[in-house]
Amino acid sequence: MAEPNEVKELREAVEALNREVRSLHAEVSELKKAKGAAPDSARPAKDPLGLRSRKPAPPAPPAPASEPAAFVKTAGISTEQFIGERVLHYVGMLVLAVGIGFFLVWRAAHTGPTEKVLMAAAAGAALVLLGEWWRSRPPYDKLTSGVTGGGWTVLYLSAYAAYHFPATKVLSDPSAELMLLLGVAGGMILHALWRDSKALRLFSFGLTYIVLFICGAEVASPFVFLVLLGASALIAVETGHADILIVSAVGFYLNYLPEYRLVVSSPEETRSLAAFLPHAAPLAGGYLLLALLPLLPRAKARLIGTGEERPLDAACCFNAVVFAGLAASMGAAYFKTLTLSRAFGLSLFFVVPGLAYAFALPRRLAFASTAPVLGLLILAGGVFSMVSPMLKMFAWLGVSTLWVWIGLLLDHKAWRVSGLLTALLTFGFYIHVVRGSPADRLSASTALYLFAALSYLASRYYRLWLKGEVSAWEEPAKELWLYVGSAALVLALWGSLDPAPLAVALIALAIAGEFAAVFFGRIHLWAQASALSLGAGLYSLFIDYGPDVLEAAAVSPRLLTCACVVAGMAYLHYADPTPPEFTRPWKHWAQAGHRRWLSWAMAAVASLAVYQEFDPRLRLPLWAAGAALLYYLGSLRDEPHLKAQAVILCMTTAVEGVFSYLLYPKPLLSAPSHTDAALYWGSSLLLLLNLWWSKDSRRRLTSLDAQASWVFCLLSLTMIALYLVKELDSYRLTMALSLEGILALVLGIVLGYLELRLPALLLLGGCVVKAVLFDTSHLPLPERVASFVVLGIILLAASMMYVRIGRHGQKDPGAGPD
Amino acid sequence: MGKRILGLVLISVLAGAAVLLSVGQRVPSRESALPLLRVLQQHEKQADRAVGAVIRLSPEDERRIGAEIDASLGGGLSPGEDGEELETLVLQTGRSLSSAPLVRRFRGRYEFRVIWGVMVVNAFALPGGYIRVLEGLAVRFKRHPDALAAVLAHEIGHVELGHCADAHRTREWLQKAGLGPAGDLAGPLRALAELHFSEAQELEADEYSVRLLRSAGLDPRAALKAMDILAGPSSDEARRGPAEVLIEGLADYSETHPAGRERRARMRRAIDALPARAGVAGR
Repeated sequence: MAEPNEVKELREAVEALNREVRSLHAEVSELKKAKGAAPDSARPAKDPLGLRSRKPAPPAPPAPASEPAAFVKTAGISTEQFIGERVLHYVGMLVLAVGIGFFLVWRAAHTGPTEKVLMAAAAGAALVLLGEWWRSRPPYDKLTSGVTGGGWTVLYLSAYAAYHFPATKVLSDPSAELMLLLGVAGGMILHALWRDSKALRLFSFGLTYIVLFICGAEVASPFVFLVLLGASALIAVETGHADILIVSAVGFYLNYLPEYRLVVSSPEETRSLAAFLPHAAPLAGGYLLLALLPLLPRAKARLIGTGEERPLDAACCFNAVVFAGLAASMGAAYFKTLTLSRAFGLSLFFVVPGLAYAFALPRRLAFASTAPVLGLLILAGGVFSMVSPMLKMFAWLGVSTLWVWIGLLLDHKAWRVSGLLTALLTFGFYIHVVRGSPADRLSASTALYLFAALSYLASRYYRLWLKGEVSAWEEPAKELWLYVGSAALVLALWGSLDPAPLAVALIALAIAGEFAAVFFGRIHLWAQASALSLGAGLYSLFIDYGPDVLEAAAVSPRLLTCACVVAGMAYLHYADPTPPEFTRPWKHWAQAGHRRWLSWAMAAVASLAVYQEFDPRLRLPLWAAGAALLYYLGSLRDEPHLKAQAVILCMTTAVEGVFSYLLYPKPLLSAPSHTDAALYWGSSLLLLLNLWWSKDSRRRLTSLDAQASWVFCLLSLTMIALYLVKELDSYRLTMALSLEGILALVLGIVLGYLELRLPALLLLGGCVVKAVLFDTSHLPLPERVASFVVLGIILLAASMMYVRIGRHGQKDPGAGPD
Repeated sequence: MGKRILGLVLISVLAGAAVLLSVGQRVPSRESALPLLRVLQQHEKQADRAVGAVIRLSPEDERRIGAEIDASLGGGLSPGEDGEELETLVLQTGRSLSSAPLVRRFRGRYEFRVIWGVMVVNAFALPGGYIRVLEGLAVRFKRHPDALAAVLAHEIGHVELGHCADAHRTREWLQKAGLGPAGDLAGPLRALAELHFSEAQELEADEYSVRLLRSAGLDPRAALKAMDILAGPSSDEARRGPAEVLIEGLADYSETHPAGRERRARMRRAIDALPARAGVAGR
């Protein structure tokens, strides 16, 4: 099988041959032209050997064994020459290398430490030189990096072994060892820079720090690493290679770890700030060196806006994160606590550079965003460690809003977003603090009032300053601050007021919110106000005013609270200060739908207040009057939901009448009074007023009106009938029910209401059944006579009326009066 | 424009009302689900009351039912050293109450007994006038015969107001109508109803006990004293979280009696509502 390099030589030879053929062809063409023959240059020179085709050249036919292959002839090198010039060369090198290796092994067992070190160093140097020699000799140039790096590694190990291994120990002074190592490191670094090899560069810096880490005991002071880091930074800037900073940062912090362990394991009795600072100084110095590097004009010019931005970014982010972790943990372990003052001091390491980045560097750099976030986290830790929950809350609030405002002023996303996320935690603190003493609760609420004001301002300036300049994911933050502010305000009110005044304050706030929404043009504010108005109503259902509410004040607080809440909701529903076109862009619920829900909430609050506040016998007329009012308003405004509420309230009236009047246990009843009877009868008759409105043909009547009219009529007549059943017996009951029936019938005929006539007929029918089945068997004869006679007269009168007048009402059973 | 002016005026009025409520309240309000629960509980067993108006359970049937249940309970363990004294106290107090004019349904036929060996502080009533007092309650009220009378009056109230009959009326009627299996099917539902009287019924029994004490010539304020002896510490904490409000509401539903805070207030109002009588003042 032909070897790849021989095929390459064959191709080169064939190409040379082709060039010669083309040249000859051109000369022939010139000669022919000179003689007058048509040149044949229009046709492209043929490719006699097919080298111009895309397909690879067909393999040369296998040469017979007896004859050498064409390339041999083409290259003009005989086999003998090949073996002598090439093969022998490699074999000889290999044999020599093996021999040298044997020599080294033999000598290593019979030599002293110095010779061993020198031999190893020589081997390393040889490898380095070999790598250099191969650099310009393809294809061996591919092996250059590996061989060179290996050579320098051997040199490093030789220098290391000169002090650390007993078999090769030639140095007794650790400083000399350190200088030797640094010298080797310097040589390697210079070589890497000279050759501009990335792999070698990173390897050289990394190996330097690792070896120094291994030799930690020889490094007397961590400031040495600080100097090294400075040198690395300088080299990075001058050479324009930021990747050096990554390796250097890793190496620096790696080498700081022994110092870290020393600090946290120091005896407690010796700990103090004065003792801590000298240990922390190199750490801080290293961090600041890298953190402030991008701000230097020369570094900025050479590393930012060039292809080195990404490694610079990575290095600075790494630097910030690791420093934050080391410094915070070291401080917490050393001092046992992370106080606010220490956290503040540490956070300045991030805040100050962060502010500088915001002014001087492009926003796209990640480390420009990392600094403020880390600073905030550290400050948050300090705030969190505060003992007083109230101070904790104020401090948390101050820190988070400060970050947001810095972010707004500098137009820097990282500040804004981190501040916002931290601010949301204020609510958690508040919930924790508000359960304390009343003084704590008041102070916490005050803080939350302040938070609400700041949030509203933040929302305003988000919209003013950041128009069209925020990314899509931050767009909702403009409105989010509005919600945060409103939530803070509501919670602050919750903490500073009792439930009763709170409910009133919430409904007032809802009205004010709708005004503000229209004034400032903030649809989200309207949404909040509308939700708050419903919430205030629901909240008022869950207030316990105490068992002595009726004696609590001149005016019952429950009545006053519910009246205020209902008045507020009524204003929103009936006066509706918000123009419908303003709320049209809001897609989650419609203004009309909200007002409907508001009316239902209003009905619930008012009903519950009446239920709790008044004696059962007073509730009846109140509910009946309420039903009448609601139905009237519903008819006037053509709002079906008000009519539906009226129907439900009528049913409630009837149920209340049954349970509070008719089924109430007798032992608990006082003697029935005329007032009670009047209230009951008045309520029953008031239901008929709704019947009038439900049949009023001057307005547009719907199916709801038709159904409601039946409900009103049946309820009213049933309530009256049940009252009679409870209060009367025997023949008096029959007469009273008959009288009720005839009156209802007369009214139904005169007004033309089928809803009155049919129940009246049923009632009269029931009287007949009672008279026949019960009165006949249970009543004495005189009473039986009275019962039957009166009933008979009434039935005859009813029949006469139907004959004479009922014909008018039957034209249109559902119509109103003529 | 008029709407806005009205709105501004309304906001001012509401703000003033909030201030007035904040400053003028003697007792702070608090969040609670109890007021709403009370509304539901008031009508929880109204269906039984409505059924009772239609399906009558005769006093004899009610007494028979009560006797059957009482026989199944047994008397408990043997009485202790002062058992005879406690038993006598309960019997005498109960009999004086059951012969008062206000007692109508089972007047003179009430039977009182102590169940020994159960140191729970409670008493219960069975249909037909069987009142049982657990030993724990008898011991606690040993030195407060007037408060014991209030407790017994409360139990008599459950019988007189028909609360005991409500639980058994439907099943009894179905069995009489030959629909025994239907009554059995209704068993689980009735079992739920039999677990306890509703809070509304408990409050009615409280009100009855006040009237009965007056009718028997005793001081109605003994009912408040009984509350003091029975009730544990009530929570008057104004500021509570939603979890505490929810737990209170759920716990209230499963309690056998409403919270002491509410019962005391209603009892005091019932006492104040009694007409004044010489020597036994309402306040």
